[in-house]
Amino acid sequence: MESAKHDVQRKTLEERNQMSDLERLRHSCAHVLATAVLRLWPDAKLDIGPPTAEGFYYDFDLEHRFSPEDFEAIEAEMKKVTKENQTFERSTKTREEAKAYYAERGQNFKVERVDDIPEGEEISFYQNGEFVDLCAGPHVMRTGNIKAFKLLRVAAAYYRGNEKNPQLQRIYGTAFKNKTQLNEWLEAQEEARKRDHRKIGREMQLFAFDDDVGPGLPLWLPKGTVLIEELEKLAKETEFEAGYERVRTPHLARENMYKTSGHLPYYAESMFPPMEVKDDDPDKPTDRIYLKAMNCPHHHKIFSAVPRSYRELPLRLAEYGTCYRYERSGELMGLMRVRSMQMNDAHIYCTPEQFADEFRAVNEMYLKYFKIFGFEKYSMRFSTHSPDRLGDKYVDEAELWKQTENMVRDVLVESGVDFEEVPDEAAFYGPKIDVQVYSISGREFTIATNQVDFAVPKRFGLEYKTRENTPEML
Amino acid sequence: MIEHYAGNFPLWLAPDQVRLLPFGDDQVEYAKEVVSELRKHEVRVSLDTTSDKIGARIRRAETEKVHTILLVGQREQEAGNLAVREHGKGDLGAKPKAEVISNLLERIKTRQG
Ligand SMILES: [Zn+2]
Ligand SMILES: [Zn+2]
Repeated sequence: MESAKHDVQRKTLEERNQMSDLERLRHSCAHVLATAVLRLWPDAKLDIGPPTAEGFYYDFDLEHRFSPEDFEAIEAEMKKVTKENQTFERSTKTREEAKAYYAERGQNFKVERVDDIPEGEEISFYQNGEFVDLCAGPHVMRTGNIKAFKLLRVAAAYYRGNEKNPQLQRIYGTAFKNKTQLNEWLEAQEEARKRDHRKIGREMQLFAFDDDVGPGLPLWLPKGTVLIEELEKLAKETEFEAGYERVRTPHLARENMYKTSGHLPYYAESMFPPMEVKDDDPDKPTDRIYLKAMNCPHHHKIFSAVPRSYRELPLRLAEYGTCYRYERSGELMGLMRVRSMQMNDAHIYCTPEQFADEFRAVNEMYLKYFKIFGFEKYSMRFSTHSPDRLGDKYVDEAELWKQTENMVRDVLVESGVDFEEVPDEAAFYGPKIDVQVYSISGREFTIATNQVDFAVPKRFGLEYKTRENTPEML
Repeated sequence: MIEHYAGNFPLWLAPDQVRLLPFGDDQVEYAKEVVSELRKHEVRVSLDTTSDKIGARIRRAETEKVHTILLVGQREQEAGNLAVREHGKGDLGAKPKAEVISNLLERIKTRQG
């Protein structure tokens, strides 16, 4: 059972005015659900029932434990409520009246919810049939307008999303304009469920999770390992053809390197806490060693490990490396969000003049992959910086940002790929380009990210000898 | 990737690429020859010689999402053939052993389907 731990913010009047027809319908259906539950379990205590991305929910507190077996009875009662075609009638009360009304009925959550309503906003109630609910709306006109609905699942939810508060029972449901739309949605859900990689992974014995190993740390069983190794082989062959060289780097590095790269402190919360390693010599300071969350700094060190000349550029380094990222346990999801992952990571060191060609070559490589995998639809998301956040969210290099982004934009326009530009979403050190593909089930995956990095090489002091034999920064 | 293919991976990527199903004991030797020939070329191949009926063995291979099933009955053995069944495509008929093998190897190498 999932458990909701986030408090929902009460919608402002303006947000309510902007609610779509579908959201009104779904929220109205939440009232119908509460009406039905109160008919079947009159001592149920009610909290709130907002619309959600997939439908709606309502939170209840009662002795009876809801289960999907109750759905048939509840849905039948809901059906009656919609058949009765009750109107949603608005009325208002003063704050004191509203609280007294709910206190009398033992609806303590509602008493507290009255105080969520800001001073000056009217305290409104909506009544359909015998059911009266504290609500600012909006709704459909009549319960009869709700023509297609279905209850989906039960979950535990803490009152106001706080673990210290009592646990409520949340019933999720959805509603659509008509039965056809509802059925189409249910079918798409079923198809997605069948394709869920967690289910396939279990059935085909591709990977497993074990509590002793830890959450977010997949164990690749033999058949899953085949997949990884075949993909790695493909990457190796494709990259070899494209002039990449493979490297290998350790999974650990000293704190100092991540300070140089800027990952510390900016990226610290996504990294596992460091290990403290004492030196044999008690006079030497204790080392702080981090598990790598990305390969880039290691690759920069490979670049600077030997003197480089302009003749070696572009230098393309690739590694199929394992990286470790700290994700909150509540956010782990199958293989989509893990704490250890194999990343096919490549870094290209080139001059500004070489950039356009290199970028084009990377895109061509993607197209090759997509053809092999049969992805027909793909698009790019070009995340740029925001000039107001220079020096805080972004490295303070106004001119370089402009130059780099223009360069990327030109290449994207010229290549004719479908892309959208998203301001203020760039990485700390440069614009990024996410490649998104669409699977058959219509789901969208970010399959690769290109990152243009003009600041970090400087921080690492990466340089090469030019024709005139003077070092130049990348 | 797993969801994109819904577990029905193309031949080059499939964890179980090929399975040999000899109808009876007389065909086991012939099937084993094919297995070792494919193994030599690093094809992930298995052999099912359990006593289950052939239909049950085919169904099992299909639920396990084996990409290509090669059936050997007495007829195939005598003609030096292999009967090919492919996941999602069904029965593709019998072809000479050498042709089937070189076809498989070529498809794996070029990552076609
Ligand atoms: Zn309402
Ligand atoms: Zn990197």
